[in-house]
Amino acid sequence: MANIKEIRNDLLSDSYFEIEHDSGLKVLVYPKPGYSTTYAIFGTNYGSIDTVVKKVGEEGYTIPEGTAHFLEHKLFESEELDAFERFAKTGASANAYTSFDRTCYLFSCSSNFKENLEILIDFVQHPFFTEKTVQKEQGIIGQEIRMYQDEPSWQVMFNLLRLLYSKHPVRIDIAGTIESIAEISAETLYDCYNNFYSLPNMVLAVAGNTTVDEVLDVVSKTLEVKEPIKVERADFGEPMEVSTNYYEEKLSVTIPMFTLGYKEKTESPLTLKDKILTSILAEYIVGDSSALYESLFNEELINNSFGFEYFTGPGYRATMFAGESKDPKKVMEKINAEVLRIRKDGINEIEFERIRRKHYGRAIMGYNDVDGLANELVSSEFEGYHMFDEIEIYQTITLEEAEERLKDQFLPEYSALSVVLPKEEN
Amino acid sequence: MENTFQSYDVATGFRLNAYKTSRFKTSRISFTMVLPLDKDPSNNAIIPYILARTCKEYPTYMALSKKLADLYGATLTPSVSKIGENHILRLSMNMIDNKFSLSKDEDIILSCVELLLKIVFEPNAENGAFDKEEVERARRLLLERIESQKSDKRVYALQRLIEEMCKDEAFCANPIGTKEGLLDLTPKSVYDSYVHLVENAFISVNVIGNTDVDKVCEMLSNRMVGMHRNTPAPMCNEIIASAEKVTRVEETQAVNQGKLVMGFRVGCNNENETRDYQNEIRIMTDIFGGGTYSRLFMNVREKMSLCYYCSARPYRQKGLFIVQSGVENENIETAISEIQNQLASIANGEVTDEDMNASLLAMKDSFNSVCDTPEDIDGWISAQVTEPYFETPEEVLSGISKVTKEDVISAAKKVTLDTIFVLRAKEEE
Repeated sequence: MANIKEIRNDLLSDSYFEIEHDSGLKVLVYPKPGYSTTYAIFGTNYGSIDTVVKKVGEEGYTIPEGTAHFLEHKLFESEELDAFERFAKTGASANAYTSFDRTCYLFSCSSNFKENLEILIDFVQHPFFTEKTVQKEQGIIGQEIRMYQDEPSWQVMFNLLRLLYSKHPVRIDIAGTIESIAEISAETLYDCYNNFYSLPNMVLAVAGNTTVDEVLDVVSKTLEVKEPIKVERADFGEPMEVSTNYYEEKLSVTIPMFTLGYKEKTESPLTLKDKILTSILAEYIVGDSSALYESLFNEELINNSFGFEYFTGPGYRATMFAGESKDPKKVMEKINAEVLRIRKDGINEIEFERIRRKHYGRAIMGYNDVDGLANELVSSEFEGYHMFDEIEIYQTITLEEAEERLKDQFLPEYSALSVVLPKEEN
Repeated sequence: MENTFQSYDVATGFRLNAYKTSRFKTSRISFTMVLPLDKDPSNNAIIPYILARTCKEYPTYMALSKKLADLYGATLTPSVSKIGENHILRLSMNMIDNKFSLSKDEDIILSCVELLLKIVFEPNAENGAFDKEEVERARRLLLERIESQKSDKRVYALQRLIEEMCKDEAFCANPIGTKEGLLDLTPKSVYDSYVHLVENAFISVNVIGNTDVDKVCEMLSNRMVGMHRNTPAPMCNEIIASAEKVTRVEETQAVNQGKLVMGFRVGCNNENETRDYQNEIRIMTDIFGGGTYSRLFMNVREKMSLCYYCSARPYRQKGLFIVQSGVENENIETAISEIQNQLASIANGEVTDEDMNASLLAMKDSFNSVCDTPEDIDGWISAQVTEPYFETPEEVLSGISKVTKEDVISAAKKVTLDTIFVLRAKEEE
């Protein structure tokens, strides 16, 4: 039996359903009538930052960097047909990803939904690792790591994270290193699997051409209920100070790139409203219609690759500005000066309204695609908010709240700049 | 009619494609212009990037951005690409549906159509030349884009293969132009190209979403009144059936991972270039290097652990397909021979019912999903902009379903390897 709650938004004319399954698994279903596609994610609240296995009330122990991602690759294998071979018989397109704080297995399909959901739940619940298959994967993941080493946008961001964070594992590469993954054994994988893939630590999110009954029917038939294991995230004692405020790396690129980050405290809980206010503030400072954007662009300091992001997760919070620039330090100086000016002059009401309206529209745009919806359902569950809350926040948020939020944001003393420069080729 | 593909002729060589539906929260409008692809297409390539920054009514980027923000964050994206020997210049917009408007009697979608028409037909230009500063800004964007394509080694290696393999075909041109061409152009030369474009390009406007299609059609027709239009040049697709010899080109750069790109010709010529044959090629390429069930994924990656990615992508209008992979220096030769072995095994008849089934099911699944986002519907229509007639996903599927194992084997037999491009990682000293 399961407790089913409908969450409705009249403006969107949409509903989704939150189901507390008896096993401890949270099931979220967002039906999209009229759609052909269904997108399902079976995810666990375990990602690259979880380098310590710590059961509630126990001492933790460290595992190799990149284990969560390695486990993601290996879970597709089985003693008999692997998951890809099974999906090849249904036509679904399956995939998986590992981020800082989660690992998600997913498929998208326009037919055979129930059969596909069965395969998804089944393969995620049945690990099969041997030393031989682990060894084989070290070659494939080794090439994935090498590929990312050549991607300047990836490198410039991770270099920034290493500047901002001296202890928190958000500073390590999601896939680990060639050396760290060499330490991973079948035993490591089983241990992590058993601790982190416990149903109360997981979520099943489905969006698209389906119903609650259909999903629950498959869940009750397929899901194996085991004794739950409770894990908690370790505290890494990350100080507020950044380790160093500048780093440059030379890569085979033709144009310099940068990422600038402003680190923030993480003691108080981060609400959805805080996140929205920060995005609005970043847009106000240097969005497309701002005076600063115009001046940076016209002085040839940025191009249309410029963008920003509020980067948040368990134990880390930073606003990042990134792009290509011939003079990243100048960009940083101008952003700092503009923040200072806004702190002094306050926020202009007409511009604030304009940006609020823009972000409201962009939020609405997020309710079209089933893949975006399923991913948002997972985020809302792991981060502890309701999906439709944002619509209301955009309609009621005020300029005063934005000014208040600005007080402890974009502080230069907690910022750092990471730059990738062209390597001289001979 | 809801949920069907409709098409209207607006003026000479000017078509409106509409897909009216109420199931989305957004609508999409795209404005596509097609011209033959020049060896140096810089003068045309820059046009969408100039248009997307300013227009007569909104003469600065800031003014236009404010207008878009007022339209609830409507997006405006310029892009250029190529299909065969045709240059595709586009501006596309996404906007929220009228029902989410915060003020009464506001038609967001029609306001966006109106804005897009102003952007295309009332540019920031006078006395036969675009605004000088705006041309400079767009020029810098494209010059930097060309540089940034060189930093992305996957993009770079693919471009280098096409340059080598198709060096005698217009297809080898980079659709965003060349450094030389971009440096040479002037506000006057680009404006001349713009006038030529508006008069001679094939124009296709796609509208997807919940809007009054008749009204959009009327707005487009009214805009064309009194405008001079010539019959557009026929679409060009130059196809070379097969390669006479294998060309191999190598470069070395200070990277961690080498890149391997291989270009194949599929034996298409003017006689057999039919939809049936194209469908056979499609399935064959998919079994060879499409999804996770393909030969390349299962063998080159999974069995031999040579790479993280290895896949084949067809270029239907060019009668070729291209394999891309990222490989360590010491594994490059093994990968090249294994990729060829896998193709040979298909040509030798080693195709199972499971292979056929996996490919057909995956295509069916993906084609059936096309109508679930405005972007995919737009993409579906746009991918056929150079074709003599339009096919719906169902029509393509019914064609594909007729392909047999024997068709796949015989298609694979006609494939020849044309060019190998290797980007080697510089060994540490």
